[in-house]
Amino acid sequence: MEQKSILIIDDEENFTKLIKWNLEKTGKYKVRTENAGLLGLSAAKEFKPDLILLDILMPDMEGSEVAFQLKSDEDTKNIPIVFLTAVVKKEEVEGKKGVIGGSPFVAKPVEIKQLIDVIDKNIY
Amino acid sequence: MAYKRLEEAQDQLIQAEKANAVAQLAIGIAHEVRNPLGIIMQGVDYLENKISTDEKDVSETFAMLKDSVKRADMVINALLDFSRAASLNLEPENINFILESSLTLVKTRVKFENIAIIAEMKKDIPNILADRNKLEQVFINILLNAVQAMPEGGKITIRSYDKQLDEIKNGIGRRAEDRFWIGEKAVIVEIEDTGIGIPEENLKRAFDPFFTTKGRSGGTGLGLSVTRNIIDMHKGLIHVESQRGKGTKITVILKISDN
Repeated sequence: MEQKSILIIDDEENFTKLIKWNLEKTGKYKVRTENAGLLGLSAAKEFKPDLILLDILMPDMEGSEVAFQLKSDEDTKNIPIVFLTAVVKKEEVEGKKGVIGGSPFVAKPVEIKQLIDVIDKNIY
Repeated sequence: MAYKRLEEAQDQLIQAEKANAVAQLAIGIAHEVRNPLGIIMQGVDYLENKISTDEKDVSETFAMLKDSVKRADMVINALLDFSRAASLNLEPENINFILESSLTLVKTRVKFENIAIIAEMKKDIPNILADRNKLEQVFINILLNAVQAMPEGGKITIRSYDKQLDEIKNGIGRRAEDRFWIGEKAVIVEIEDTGIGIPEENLKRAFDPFFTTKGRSGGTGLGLSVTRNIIDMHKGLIHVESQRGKGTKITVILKISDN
């Protein structure tokens, strides 16, 4: 089975490292991580992942701005984005069937099984 | 009258500023606490794959860690609810519809084993000015507490009616700070259970933030505090009467809408 490529953009380095380990352990994904919005943007252009996991609150650039720039760029506009957030409740995400404002969301803290479900649902 | 309106406007402004500060604080706490919780959860997931969980103590330890993360997350959820209660989207609403939908939502969350529901709702009841979602949260909290107070089953009576307030009580009177004037018509909701009741020493603290008698796994202690916060924002009143071993009655008094 062909591995899918995932880019994680989140300023929590330990969080991205553990998600990378957990996802790669399944053998289904190859993962790259970036811990700042701007670095994430250039990684997306270079790496061209099958899906991006994107944190909302980051110190250098908000996730919504990163998403806007990704969607405005011919090279990255078709890459599906799943937002990661710590300020939305799980029940709200579930109540809205995992989509808020047109984009899929995952509420932190998340178990890896649940995250994989969301990734597989949103990856092309 | 003009003075009272001015006071109300000032009060609303202060409330709005407070609400904004509380919301910012809650979002900050959610962000700062949930990120480390996320790391712990991912770490446990990783170790579960690395270490053999055949031994019972290992698998139990992982389960305890995950449960603890979920419990801490529950407190953050309640804190977000608490802060969001501070901003309202007010519309003229029929209280009976709000009560019925709250009851339906509660029924999806808990089993009503051996619990009889008696609804005594007045049909032609005036509209109230309310944030429907927030008031649903109020009645869901009250109904969940009622269900939890009756582990052996019992009866919940839900009453709604309108009434001209004729008795001076806390919050009802002729002072500027009273929420209701004597003679003012209001909508009243009573939810009464036949449960274990609240001991007298706990009654005064029932609406205090983080006060709970449900122990570690039962609740965050923010449910009734959120409830009172929402009623306060509606300029309404809530009070609780309880007798140990006989049950609890929660009364909510709400403003009638001008429309």
